[in-house]
Amino acid sequence: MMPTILVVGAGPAGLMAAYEAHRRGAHVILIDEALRPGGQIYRQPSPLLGAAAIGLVTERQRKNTILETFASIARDIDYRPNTTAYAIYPGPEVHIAQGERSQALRPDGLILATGVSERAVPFPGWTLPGVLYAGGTQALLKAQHIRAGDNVVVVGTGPLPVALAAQLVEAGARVHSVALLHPMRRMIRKPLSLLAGRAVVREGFEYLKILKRAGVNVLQKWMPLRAEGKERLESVKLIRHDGNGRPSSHGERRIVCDLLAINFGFTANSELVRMAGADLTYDPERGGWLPLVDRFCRTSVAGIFAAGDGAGLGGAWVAAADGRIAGAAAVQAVQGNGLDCLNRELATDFLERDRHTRFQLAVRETLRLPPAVWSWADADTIVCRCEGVCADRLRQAMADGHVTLDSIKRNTRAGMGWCGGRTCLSAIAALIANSDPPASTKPMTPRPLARPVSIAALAQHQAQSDATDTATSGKVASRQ
Amino acid sequence: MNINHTDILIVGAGVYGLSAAWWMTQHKTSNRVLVVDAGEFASGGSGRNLAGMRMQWGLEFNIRLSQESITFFEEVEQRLDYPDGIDFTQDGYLLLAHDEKMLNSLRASRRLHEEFNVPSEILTPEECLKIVPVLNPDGILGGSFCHKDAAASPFLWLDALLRACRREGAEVNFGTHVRGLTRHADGFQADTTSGPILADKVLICTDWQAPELLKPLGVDLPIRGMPKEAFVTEPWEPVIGPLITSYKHDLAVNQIGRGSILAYSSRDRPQHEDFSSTPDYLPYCTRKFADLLPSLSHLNVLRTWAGMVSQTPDMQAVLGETDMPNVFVAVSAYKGFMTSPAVGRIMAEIVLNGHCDHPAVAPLHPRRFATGELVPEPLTV
Repeated sequence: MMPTILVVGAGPAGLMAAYEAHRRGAHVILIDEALRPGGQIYRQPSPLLGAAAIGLVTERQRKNTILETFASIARDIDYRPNTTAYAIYPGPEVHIAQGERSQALRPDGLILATGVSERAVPFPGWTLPGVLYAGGTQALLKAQHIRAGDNVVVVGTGPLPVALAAQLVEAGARVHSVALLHPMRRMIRKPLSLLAGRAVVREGFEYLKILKRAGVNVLQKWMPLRAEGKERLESVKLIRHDGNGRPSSHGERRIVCDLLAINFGFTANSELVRMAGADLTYDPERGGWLPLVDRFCRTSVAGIFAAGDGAGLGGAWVAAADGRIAGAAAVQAVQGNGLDCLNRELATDFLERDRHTRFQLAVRETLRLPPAVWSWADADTIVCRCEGVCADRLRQAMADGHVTLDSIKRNTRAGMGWCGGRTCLSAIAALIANSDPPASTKPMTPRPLARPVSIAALAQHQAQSDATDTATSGKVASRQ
Repeated sequence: MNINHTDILIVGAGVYGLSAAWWMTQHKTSNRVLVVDAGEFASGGSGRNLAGMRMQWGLEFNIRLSQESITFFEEVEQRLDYPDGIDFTQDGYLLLAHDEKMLNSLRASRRLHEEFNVPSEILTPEECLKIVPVLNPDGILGGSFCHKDAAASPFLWLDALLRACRREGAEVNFGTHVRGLTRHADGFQADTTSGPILADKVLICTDWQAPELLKPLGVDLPIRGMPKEAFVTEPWEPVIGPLITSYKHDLAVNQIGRGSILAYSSRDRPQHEDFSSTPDYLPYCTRKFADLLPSLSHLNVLRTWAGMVSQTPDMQAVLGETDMPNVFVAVSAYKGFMTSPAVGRIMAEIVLNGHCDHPAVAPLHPRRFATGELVPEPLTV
């Protein structure tokens, strides 16, 4: 019988997983929160906005290849955009919501390709209007063709600040400075890794060229001291740091700006895989709490696979290869077949994945956060912005002996708000450990819902139906 | 091995255990009080409830327990030296009747409330809607409302108690699981994950888990755990003033100070000791919610959680000394948060002095299950 494979997330990993599972004869349901496929990295604007090229030619070619591959099967699978997976119960039984309806699915195999969110490092003023995540700023550019500011400073780690600054320049913004926490030459620490990703490195140089032409200051080994402004961002104070994230005594500058874009790495969207009870590991540079997966993307829970950045930051190339491997492995596994044959069938994908994973070793050198970043927050700097919990309140809870994330949550409400702790969880964990926490640190108990869903949608629920039902119906039916 | 001695051992650092410990410190005796808890701060039922409290009950002792507790909550900042307060708000509690039987039961209770100065009133459907305009008016026959009924944050209440206990000299240790109690010389030995503890007297405040420790001592009380689930919405503008219980909907809701709405709906569920979230709960409870408060269906649900409440044959608390002398028990039967200030005071007196002349003490004695003197409450939760 045709197995049903449910794929959550339509970024490169999810799209390729859906493609591969479909190619191998599975009935594929692909759900995604966005209106159009692509995920964060290959986000597409509404066709009504017309074409505006964001990013380099090579990047756009990669994007088109993935999107065209998916387009070739999109009509043959059950693709549901604008749909949220908000809970996993034993089974696995996955609950999804679309508009004002919700539904339970019991797929034979589940592939979670849920991607990453941006990781917050609280510093004074970071919650002022006008301070945006770099990825969020980029999403506005890509999906809405909105330039979030005219006078811009970009601050952060890793490759994103440089890419975003160049894209903002191309979009007509005046970018004053890009302040990088680490010197770019840090990547040279892993020369072989750099070689593995030479195509991406080349793109990095292209972006730097754009910045140079536009006269953008690229500051290296600098940190944000504070974002300033009454009602909204008016300026930012940057300062050189000592290499460990502590401000040095000289080299402070204040820059007037209306947009401060920040990026301090990423947090895996691992709520669903945690809810499923999968074994976890903690790796700060690859996204915090991650499911333990084998080379076939299998988690510790039978039938559940995790692919792409959500299973460990690797970038879009790794994600696409990961997705193909997970798609194939899921179909093989749920049919009770061995996976060894895939080593040969997907040899190119494994090679591709290994090569780009090697490149990530160089990238992670620039993503590593020096320990002192976790003391940037002043006493009254907000750490949990949903519940308005400031650093001092958290430090007080710790002084009172609340040293686990669950206990701190109950004592301070940090992590109880809209984002479910996605934003502040790693910051709180890091505050407890006074550096990145050890791998044994337990995240908060995962509870539904992974994403907020309306009462109306939850009340209009179609209970679990077997795979054949969903295979024939295709659409979400409702039952009062 | 390092053996820990204490005069009084309290098992369970929820609202009952901590409240009793704090009250004991207020007696200024030389007794050492040690509270141990298997879990973390607020990890049990005390941190999982709907955060509401009411005096509107159908029996004298429940009214008295809540009255005394609400009075205490009114001045909790001073009593526990907790200047920021515990988000205590007194917006009242509305009990809705959708059928004559329920309305008559509310009326009967109202007569009792008068006797004990509970400022409740029976409302017409129009008056109910005036207090909570977002209610679905269909089928409402009336309600009972008491403006002195209240809500507070269980987390802040626990934090206030914990700090006060430690400040006043009671020791509170989390992560210490009592695996068993045995008699030892004149007292008891608790076998715990942090080593043995010797105590003269033991007060068990582990709620539904109390039988685990009592049974091996030969004390058999009909206390069971019942899994319950609740959900919380995103914050919204204040639209629901009082707490509401609709018996028809089997639903209770509470819009807390931050604007989030907590909703709780009971439902038959297999009896087990696992309180993970179950797949049919959200559809069940949100349907009730959407029927009672249709104009709020657009609100997003942020989170659902589960907890365990204690169940006794008459659904009333169990307070007092067990048949094993010097072993005491305080089990909430579902009303722990709202009665905890009074119950803490009562249990402190019973444990320290051997008696307390509160009207709840006689009817809620653990012996009642053996003698068959059950005291069921007409206005259930």
